[in-house]
Amino acid sequence: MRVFKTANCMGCHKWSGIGGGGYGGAAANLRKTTLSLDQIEQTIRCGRLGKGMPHFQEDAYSDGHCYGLKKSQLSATQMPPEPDHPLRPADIKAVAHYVFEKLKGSGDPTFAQCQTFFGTRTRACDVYEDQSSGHVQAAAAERDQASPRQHMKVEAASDANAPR
Amino acid sequence: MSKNTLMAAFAAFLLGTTSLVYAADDVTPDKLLNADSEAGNWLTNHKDYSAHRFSTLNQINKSNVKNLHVAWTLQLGGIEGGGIWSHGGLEGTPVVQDGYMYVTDGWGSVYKIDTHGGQGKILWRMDPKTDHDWAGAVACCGVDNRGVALAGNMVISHTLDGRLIATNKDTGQIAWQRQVADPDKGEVMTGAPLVVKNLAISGVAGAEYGIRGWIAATDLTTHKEVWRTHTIPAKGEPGSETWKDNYNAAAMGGGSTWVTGSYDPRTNTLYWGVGNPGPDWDSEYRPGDNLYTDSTLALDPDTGKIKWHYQHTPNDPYDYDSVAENVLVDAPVHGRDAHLDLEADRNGFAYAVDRDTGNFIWGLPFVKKVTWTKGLDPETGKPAEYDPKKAVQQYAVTPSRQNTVTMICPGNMGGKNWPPTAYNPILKEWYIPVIESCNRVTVKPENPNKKPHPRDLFTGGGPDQPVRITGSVTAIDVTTGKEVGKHETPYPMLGGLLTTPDLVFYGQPDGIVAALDAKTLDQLWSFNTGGGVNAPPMTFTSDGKQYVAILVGQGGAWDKWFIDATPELKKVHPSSALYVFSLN
Ligand code: HEC
Repeated sequence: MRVFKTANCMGCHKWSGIGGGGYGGAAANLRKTTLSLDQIEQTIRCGRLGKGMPHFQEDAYSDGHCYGLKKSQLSATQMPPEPDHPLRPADIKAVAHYVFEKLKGSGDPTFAQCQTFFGTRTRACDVYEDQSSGHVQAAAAERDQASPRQHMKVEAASDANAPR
Repeated sequence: MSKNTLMAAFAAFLLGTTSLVYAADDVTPDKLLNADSEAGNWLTNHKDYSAHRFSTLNQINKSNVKNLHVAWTLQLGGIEGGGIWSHGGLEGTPVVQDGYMYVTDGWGSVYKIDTHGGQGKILWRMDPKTDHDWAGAVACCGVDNRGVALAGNMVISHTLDGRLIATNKDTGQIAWQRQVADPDKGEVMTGAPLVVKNLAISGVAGAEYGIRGWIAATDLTTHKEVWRTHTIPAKGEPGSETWKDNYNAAAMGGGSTWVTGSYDPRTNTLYWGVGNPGPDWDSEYRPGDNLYTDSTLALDPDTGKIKWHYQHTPNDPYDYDSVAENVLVDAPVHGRDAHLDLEADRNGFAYAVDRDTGNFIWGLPFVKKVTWTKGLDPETGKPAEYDPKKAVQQYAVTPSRQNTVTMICPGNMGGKNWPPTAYNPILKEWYIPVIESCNRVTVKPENPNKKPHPRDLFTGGGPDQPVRITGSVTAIDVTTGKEVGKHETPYPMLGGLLTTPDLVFYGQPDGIVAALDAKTLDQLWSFNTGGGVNAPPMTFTSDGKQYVAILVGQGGAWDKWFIDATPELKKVHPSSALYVFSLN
């Protein structure tokens, strides 16, 4: 989980690994991945050819150990993007295990999983559960003690251009 | 009790009234109306209510600007990431009153800096403890905050997680705050508030997350919201007929308002730009012109009522929003006096409309390459291909469900994005910070029966960057509506402009800060700050001496979404600093 955060996997795959579309092209849903642990690790090391998934091993294309290819054999459009920060081999293993054990096959993200990821001091998880539920309220109370005034309700004026 | 409140209380006692009483350095409504009469100060985000970003200061001028050098620097904070962002950045314009400067970082901390004695000293920092994960996950385009407003003895600011905060100018303590935007709905705030009379006016971001945009006014005395104008009309309101679907696309119609507006006291009118419709690239999802997206709104600041609107790109399939600042200029056009509202749109065209009526006066492309339309109708300013009878517009090049992969020029980041223009009233020239761009858009239709979860992206596709993108500073003679100069730059203009009587200043994302001759656009000075600049320069005096200040810290959208168009910028690392320049 640490590496998943610090390597900014969540920047594309979201905290839950659910990925999804939009602005920068679609990142895969890691919760629905069918890959084995080894394949996941390889994807993280080598990235995906011609796709938006970066290669997190710094010298992935130096000697052909990724897909049997070297940098010189790859066109600019095939070359996976550079990562913001390359990862050490141990970190690649750790994050591959995290994807395989905690994300793969784990269904829809839940409030509890979200809280495990982010802790209780943020409202990032509220949308995962019905607002009236006990969990959300308990979390809100804990937060308000930690930082009063940080999370208030919007009290909006009525619509200025509403027909009367 | 601070010195100011004490003085105010004493004055109130003497006058036997508790109504609005101000201390000498309080920023009164009158001071803001006359912001330009205080040459050494920069009292509001765009310098004045007309959004000119023109300073009369001329100690630094054409003949000596080559001697400009760093007077002092300060390292600031707010660089940490959150949500989908690996770091924050700086997009703010410093505000200065009587030698005291107020700046913000991307997470909304406000810093008060004493600039006296030829150096910068941080007097206090107000850290609003922004909820990084809550807000950062739904900030489409970076961890940004564009600065503060001054009102009375308060510094008024926004946070990414949707709050409006009033901080005591003397002590740095939060006096009061309220929640204005709701990140649970994908709403965040990045612009500087605008203070008009006794109101703080706020805009919202989030059109990539299915929001229904608005502008909201908060009373500075009662701290209550006075009005909220939705930029997408509700059913039955004028304009709602421009959403022709039967599944309420308007409810997630977009229309953000994240750039600070302008104000004309002569007619008591507020001008505010409105962003793109959502989903950005799937225009068939939302048949109709989609008012008031991609429009300029003229509003009554007392009630929020819309006086008129002018739409630039009906049924926009490009993400060509119109959030840009509106620049209010009085000048003769072809010999006739006119009250102009100037706007440099993301669609690559610069527009002048009559700001009293909303009627089109002139328009022209300010980028080198436009492909999406053949041009503007000379009478109405609408794109030549626009057909009011059509529900889904077909322009010269239109990303669509049939034509899913298209190159568009300008690219979706626009010919100009939020970085502000500057207007020189002496030369009657208007300078635009240009992104000379094309990019590729891939449409992925949204399904009305499967609406996205709250806080999920809702864009109907996405862009990528197969070609290099550059920039320019482009000058327009407002009396003719003609381009009169273009200074090309190797990188897009991501920071905005400042003009003085004979100079134009700008910063580049590779770290260069430069000054141009305002007439010829020849470069007269430059300095490499060693960071990425995506904030506007400003100028002020302290102890009678002129300084130029600019925030340095790569942030914003470029780094994540558009960097492939400027590969060298991958080597620019996050930073968070203030640079201040002077002569000897
Ligand atoms: C710049 C965006 C980006 C970042 C950062 C990123 N990914 Fe990806 N990732 C993608 C995209 C896009 C795909 C889908 C590629 C494709 O279409 O084949 C993907 C695919 C994957 C896959 C393959 C899933 C499958 O079933 O095929 C795995 C595993 C993965 N990413 C893990 C990670 C991990 C772990 C990290 C952090 C170390 C990470 N990614 C960071 C964009 C990103």
